[in-house]
Amino acid sequence: MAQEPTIAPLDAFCAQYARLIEWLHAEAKGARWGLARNRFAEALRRSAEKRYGGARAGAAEVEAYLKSLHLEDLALACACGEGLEAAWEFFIKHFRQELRAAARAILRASGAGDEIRAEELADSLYAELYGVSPTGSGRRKSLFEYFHGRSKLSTWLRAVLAQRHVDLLRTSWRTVSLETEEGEQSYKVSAGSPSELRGNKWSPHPLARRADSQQADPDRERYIARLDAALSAAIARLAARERMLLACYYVDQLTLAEIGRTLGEHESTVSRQLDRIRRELREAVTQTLFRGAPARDGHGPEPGLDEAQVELAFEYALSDWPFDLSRALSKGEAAVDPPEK
Amino acid sequence: MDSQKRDESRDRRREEALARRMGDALDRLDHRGAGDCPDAELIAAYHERSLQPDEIARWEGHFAICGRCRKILAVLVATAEEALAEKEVAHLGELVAASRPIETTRPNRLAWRTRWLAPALGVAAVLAVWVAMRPPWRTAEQSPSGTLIAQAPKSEPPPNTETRAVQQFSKATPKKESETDAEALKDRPAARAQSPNLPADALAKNRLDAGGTLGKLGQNSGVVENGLRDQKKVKGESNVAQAGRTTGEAFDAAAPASPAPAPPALPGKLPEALPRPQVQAQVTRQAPSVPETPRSTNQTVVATEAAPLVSAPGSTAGGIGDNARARDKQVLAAPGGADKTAAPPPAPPAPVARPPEPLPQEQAKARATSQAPPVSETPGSVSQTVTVTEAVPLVETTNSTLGGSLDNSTVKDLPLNGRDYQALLKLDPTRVIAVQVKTPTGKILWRAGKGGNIQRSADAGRTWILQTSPSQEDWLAGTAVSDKISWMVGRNGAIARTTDGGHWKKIAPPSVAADSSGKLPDWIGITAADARQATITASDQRQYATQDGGKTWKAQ
Repeated sequence: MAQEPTIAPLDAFCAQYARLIEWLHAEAKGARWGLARNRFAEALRRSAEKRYGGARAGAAEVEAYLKSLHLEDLALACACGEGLEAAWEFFIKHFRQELRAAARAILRASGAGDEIRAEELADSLYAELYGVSPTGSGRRKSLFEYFHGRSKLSTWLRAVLAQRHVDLLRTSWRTVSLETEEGEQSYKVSAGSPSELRGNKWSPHPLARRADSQQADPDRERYIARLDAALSAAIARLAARERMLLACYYVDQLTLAEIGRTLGEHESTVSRQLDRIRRELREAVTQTLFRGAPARDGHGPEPGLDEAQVELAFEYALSDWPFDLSRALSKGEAAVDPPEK
Repeated sequence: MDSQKRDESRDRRREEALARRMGDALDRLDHRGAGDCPDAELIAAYHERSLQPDEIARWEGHFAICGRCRKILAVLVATAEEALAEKEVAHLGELVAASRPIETTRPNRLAWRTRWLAPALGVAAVLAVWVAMRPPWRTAEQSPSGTLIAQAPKSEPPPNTETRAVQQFSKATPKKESETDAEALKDRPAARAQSPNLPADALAKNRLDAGGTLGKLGQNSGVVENGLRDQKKVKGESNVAQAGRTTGEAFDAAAPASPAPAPPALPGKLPEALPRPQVQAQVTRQAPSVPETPRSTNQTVVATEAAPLVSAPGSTAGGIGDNARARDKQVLAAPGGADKTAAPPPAPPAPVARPPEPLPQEQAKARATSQAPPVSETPGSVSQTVTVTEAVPLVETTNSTLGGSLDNSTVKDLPLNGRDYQALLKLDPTRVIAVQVKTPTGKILWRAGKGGNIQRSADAGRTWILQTSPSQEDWLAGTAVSDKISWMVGRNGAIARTTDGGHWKKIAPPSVAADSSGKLPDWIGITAADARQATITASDQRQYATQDGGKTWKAQ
């Protein structure tokens, strides 16, 4: 199979895949919108280029990729990007309600669902979909140009809406008061394992216990730091999907069902995977603490801990409240409140 | 044993400790660099599982350390729970149907009644069709029916007038006349064949009165006319759907001297489609009676007993000369001019030939029929198809609203005649969805059934959204307390409840309900007052109630 350095320029691309492009154009029913074949070919090339970038891609691979695209949606997006009236009529007729429904769901999920705002959110997209002319340039830049047929057009539209909404929220977070942020942060970490923590009976109050332990054991912070390091290393060794699952569960506090829908798995599968990952992490961290750590980053080697010390490390970690506002603030300033030792 | 428990306890504490550090540990991964976020299309493609494996691994690594992308994914998932488009619902239905093969081994007590009714109603539908089909057959035995006449030889004896519908006809109601004309055309071709001396141009004149399009009447008459044509010519006009129209046009073409409104242009070959002078002559005798204003009188029309197949198609269906057709029928009803005592129309606007008066029996029939105008006037009401269509909806194919429980005595009394009742289960159309409940507001519906399948509709059942079920057991009963609170119970002790309308949580069943082997019963009923108070009924009629949302149960 001949390998090519990258996707060829448009002319060469059209020449190389002429028959395929003709077939794809027919499959996409681009003629419905009066979409010219060369414009469709340009969209195909753009899609392939984005997929493979500078990587090598064989002709057969590119061909299989192009055939796997959502061709009709790509043709519609391409035609709408071109401003073809028939395509826009079809788009409005078939996607307007879907956009509004998605906007409703987004707003409802964030507790701000009302019909008018949903319509505003959905309709705010149309100007960009049609395209605005950058200052000084005559050509419109339509949002449709970012659609390459890799997903359904409807899903892409929902993703764009979701993206806008999340970015808007994140922008507004910059103005959240410190108190709120503290509360969120504490909640985020403490509720990392919602059900288990709620049923926890052995920690009266983390801060209180930490203060007691602080005075009792000068090695407390060291043990916690070693446990944190061991945990980070164990997490880094997990597969990407497992890390994502942990993040969804412990950071985003999604339910098992929500994680299942995100990952495309049943919640029982997610639950089993979570149990397994927790078990593996526990064993990995325990073994790391027993083994000790070699010298690195200017630090000397860390000797291994014995059984009692490992148990102590876990106990300290359990009672330690990860977020300490004063400690966090002290990191950026002089040590007003010296770190615990 | 104690050491094992201690180990388990220790492990739980350690995992708990790690869980508390997990957020920070995952945050530390951020410092390794998340890279650029994927664009909306890649997120959409990931959501659709259409990325390549290498891309999935790459972007899941990014998602693990990028809260923004995870949030976008979560929002995208949330939007997927909106009402689905029709095509998606259809696709979902196909998937559900494909993933729920018919189970033949376990009887479902709840759907017994429906299961028994399904085959019975099927038989009833067949009987209805048979009964509906009978009159033409019976008529055929006594006198040629429309279809049979079309195939009958010209030498066939004239039909028996006793079985014929004889009626007063109204020139003012073209649709009624068209009906009678249809009957006449259908039932009396042989008689027409015996009616000499009717010129074709008069027949055409009658046709010219029709105006408008032809419905079933036209088709029926077309069939008749086809029967009267030579085989080759019939082939030339073999399109049955247009036979009525073409026939009418053919007659129109054959009527150059017609006083009626101008007909549409005619194909040249169509006039030749009337090869039989008898037919033409028969109608011609009635031709002078064709009124110019067919709606000027208000006389009743009597449908024939043998005309169930003929629907009165209304004014738009009267494609052939209405009055003339009615008269054709009357002439045909009294071949040879035997019935000359036809009652005159009350106020004919134009000289109209008196139709023959019906015989006593025919008068009775005519009177009886005229007392039921919908039968003769409502399109479709005299159609056999209507009878069948009305019977079929009794078989509910979408839910189990006809379902219920049968006790043992009822089961024993089922008229199975020795058949295996389990075989009937195969015929149950509602097996996939066993439960459908509606909230008091009527806005929200839930349905549930096999394999833990739970669906929710927010638009009165037009579209359904699959919800994540906490159990794979079959749901057998449910109740919806409000738009957000609903309970479901099912096999093997399965109980679930939602308090937000979207997320279902499994409720622990009463442990005392388990038998000696630990097996929990099937719950076949539930009533609930709110999210905390509910009473469930087992298949053995034991009942348990909870006042705290299922944390504790008390036997009733």
